Amino acid sequence: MEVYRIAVTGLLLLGLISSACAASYTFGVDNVTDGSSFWISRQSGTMKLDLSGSVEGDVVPIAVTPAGRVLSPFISGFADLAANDVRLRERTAALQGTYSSEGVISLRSEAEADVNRTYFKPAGSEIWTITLEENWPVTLNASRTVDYIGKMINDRDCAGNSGDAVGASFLYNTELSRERNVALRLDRLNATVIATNETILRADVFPTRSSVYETRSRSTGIADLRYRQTDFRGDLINLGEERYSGIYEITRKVEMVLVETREKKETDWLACCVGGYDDIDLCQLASWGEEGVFDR
Amino acid sequence: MFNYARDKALLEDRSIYWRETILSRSCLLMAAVICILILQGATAINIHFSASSGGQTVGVVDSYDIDDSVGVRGKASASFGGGVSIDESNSLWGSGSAIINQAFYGSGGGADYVIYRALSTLDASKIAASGSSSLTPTAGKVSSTLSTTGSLETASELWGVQGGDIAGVGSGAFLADISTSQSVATGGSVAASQKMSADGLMAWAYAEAVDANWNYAGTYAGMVDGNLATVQGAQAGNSATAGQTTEMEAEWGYAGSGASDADGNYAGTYAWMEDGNLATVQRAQAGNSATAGQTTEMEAEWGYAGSGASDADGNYAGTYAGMVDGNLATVQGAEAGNSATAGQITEIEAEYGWASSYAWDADGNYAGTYAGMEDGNLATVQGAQAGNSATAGQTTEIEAEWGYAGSGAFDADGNYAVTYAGMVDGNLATVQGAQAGNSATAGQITEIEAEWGYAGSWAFDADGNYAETYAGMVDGNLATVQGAQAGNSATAGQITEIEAEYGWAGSEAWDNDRNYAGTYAEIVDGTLFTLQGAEAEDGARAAQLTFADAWWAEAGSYAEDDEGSYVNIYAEVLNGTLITLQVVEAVNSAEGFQETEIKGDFAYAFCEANNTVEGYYAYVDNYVVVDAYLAFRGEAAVDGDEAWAHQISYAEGLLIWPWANSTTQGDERIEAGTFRSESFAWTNSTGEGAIITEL
Repeated sequence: MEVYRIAVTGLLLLGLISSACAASYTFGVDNVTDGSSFWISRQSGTMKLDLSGSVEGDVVPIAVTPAGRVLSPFISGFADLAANDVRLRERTAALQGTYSSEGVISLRSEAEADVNRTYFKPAGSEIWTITLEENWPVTLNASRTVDYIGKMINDRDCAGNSGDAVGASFLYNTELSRERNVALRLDRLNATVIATNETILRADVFPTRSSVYETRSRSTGIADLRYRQTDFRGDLINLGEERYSGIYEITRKVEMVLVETREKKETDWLACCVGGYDDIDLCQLASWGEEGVFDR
Repeated sequence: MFNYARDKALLEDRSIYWRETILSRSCLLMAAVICILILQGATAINIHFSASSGGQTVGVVDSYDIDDSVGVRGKASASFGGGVSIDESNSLWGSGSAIINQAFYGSGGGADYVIYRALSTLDASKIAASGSSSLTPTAGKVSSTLSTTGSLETASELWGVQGGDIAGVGSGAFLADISTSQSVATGGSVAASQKMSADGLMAWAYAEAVDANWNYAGTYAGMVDGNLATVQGAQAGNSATAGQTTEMEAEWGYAGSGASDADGNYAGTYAWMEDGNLATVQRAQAGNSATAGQTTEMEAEWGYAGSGASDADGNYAGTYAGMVDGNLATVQGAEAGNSATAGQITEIEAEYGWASSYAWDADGNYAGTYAGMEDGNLATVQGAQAGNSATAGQTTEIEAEWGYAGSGAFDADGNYAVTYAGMVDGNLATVQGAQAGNSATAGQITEIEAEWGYAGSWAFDADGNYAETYAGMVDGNLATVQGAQAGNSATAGQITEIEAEYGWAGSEAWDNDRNYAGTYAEIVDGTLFTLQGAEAEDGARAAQLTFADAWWAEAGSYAEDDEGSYVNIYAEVLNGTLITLQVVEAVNSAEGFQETEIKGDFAYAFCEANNTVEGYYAYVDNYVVVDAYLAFRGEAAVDGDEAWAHQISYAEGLLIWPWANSTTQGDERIEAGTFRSESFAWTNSTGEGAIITEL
């Protein structure tokens, strides 16, 4: 075994990206009366990425010149993956020591389906209902193991899915043994803006999604664990952050799901025909519609 | 192996790529949003939707400022397979007021475009509108319909812009119900079309196109208090074209089309009317040349239709027709392009009507032709042309209480020629022409059957010479071929046939030295055929060859020099025939000649010369009464030294009574049966004499 050697075996890219075709759309509503607005812009593509690899070796100094100039040993790596609103970020850096790692990433993304926008305002009402439907699914599965003994290693990752995010940071570890699995799925996005001529009353975004993050580790430094979850309006509803400094064995699994049920409430047809139209809840007009009842 | 610098550059390239895309899209979006911002209401909701793929973008911006009583539904679908595209549709219903602006755009495919749609209505009792669009990065098609009832004001406009080509349509109404269907398509060229109808106080419609080379074409229609229905279209793309089919029934209506090309040529056609109907098919075209057209039909209290063309060189031609209280049907045209042309086929049946054409070239030559009538019909084929010369023409048929037709030419050198014809209570058919250009020429072939009719031609050259010919009749027929010409000389002539209760024809000329020559013929209740002419240039000359068969007829010629000395040639018949050839001339002196044959109840011919300065006089004649026959040949001449007259004649009759006179002396014979004679009369500075000799 050479004294100064960076042993990088295995790894690198075994990836295949096929049929990549970037697509994007922008949807916005401006209310000129009070200046309120809602905008959403998304970018994706039809693509496929498979990556697997492993690395095992000693992180040791190596001489780079005949005179004996020595290069300090280190390893570093990062991965940034993003498709539509699904993201995965990984950062790893280690100094002299023994390092081994295995990883598999599988990304599937489609952006071929039509994106539909509708708006509707019944006659006699001031309520505008403006909707957007997108079905650009993304599936991201990633697993990774890290084993290290040495001077120091920092290992961080973060998985995001629309407004949801979960991640972990292991810093200043002299020994780190870690296994992590991520499964992110984004199915479709529905946005609904409720407005009047005076203002935008409400803007809801329903990205149907699920995020699973699972990690098991033994660390000797600082371990930070975080997660956050947002609702359909983008408001933060769940948040967690933990820090462990010392020697710990940590097992953690986070699963976050948001499903847009698209519940449809049908208006009692007798209400308009017998009781008149005035007593119908305006919120239910979208499914019936004045035009649909009277004008056809 | 990971290469930070390389991968970073790749990442940045990606950013740049998207930044460029966003920039391009932003430009279009900016244009669209500017349109929206300018025209949106104070309480508008704007809805934006755009899609991009592969650096290409399509999008739509909707702006609504509508009452609560108005309902709206819209749907847009962006597709990404086979290139990005958007299909959109919307509908609007209810009552009240609404302002809708939409901007559609595509970019990144090498043919960026923007289509703009604007609808507005105020206080409508019923609104129904719909729209649909199909957008790709290089082509867009937008359709729009709008129907309002009981609105104070409604407008619908649709425009497309691509690569510098612009085309649009618009229609509107004020206190009128309107229904309109519009569409615009981009892709290669920009085309717009609409079909609209309105019923109410006021309505209008237009279609316009301007291409990247600044060729323009437009067509318009409008009405007050009635109905308007029209189909219009405009297209731009290396050229500009517009068209229109119009139907109106209104108190006042207008339809017009115009085209102007990048070279400065212009052509336009228009029609308007009051209190009636108007149906028009129009067209305008531009592109190195400009063309206009029109098929008009009117039935109105008052109507007017015209066309005009002016080319880049300054040539202009126009044609127009009008009428009061009746019908008007016209096919018109105008063309420009290094020359200007106008045309017209006219049919008028009205209380009063007129049609005219004229041409004015860049050199200052002018030619025009016109016809008019009162209480009857008028049919005319006209023309005008300009371009280094000016030409006018006319084929006219009038059946009216009163009618006239005329043509004139005026060249840049100051030569002027005119021909005209008119009649009262009858028919007038004429073929006329006029021409100008270093010379001026006018002519006519005319047939009149009327209570009263006339035809004449005259020419005035730049040197002050003048020539004229004319013919007229009362209660009968008149057929004449006439002409007048000016240009260093003035000439007029005619071939005329008159069958009438009373008829006359004459020709005369003045030169710029005040020499005069004239010839004339006149009949009562009979037929007159005459070939006449007059010419002026360094003297004046006139001549006639006349045949008359009438209850009474006369033919005479007269020449007078600049000092007032003259010769007079004359022949007369009562209830018989007269054939005469007469020639007179004045050139600082005067002389005349006749050869005449007369048969009738009475025959009379003479030749006379008079030096009015010196008081020299000479006269010879023959005078035959009852069963008269006279063959008479005579001459007369006067100059500064002498006046003399001579005749040789053969006469038959109950009374034959020839005379010869000098200034103070005379001779006469009284004969019966047959008498052949020769006469001399003279006066000069040495003496005088008057002698009749039997041969």
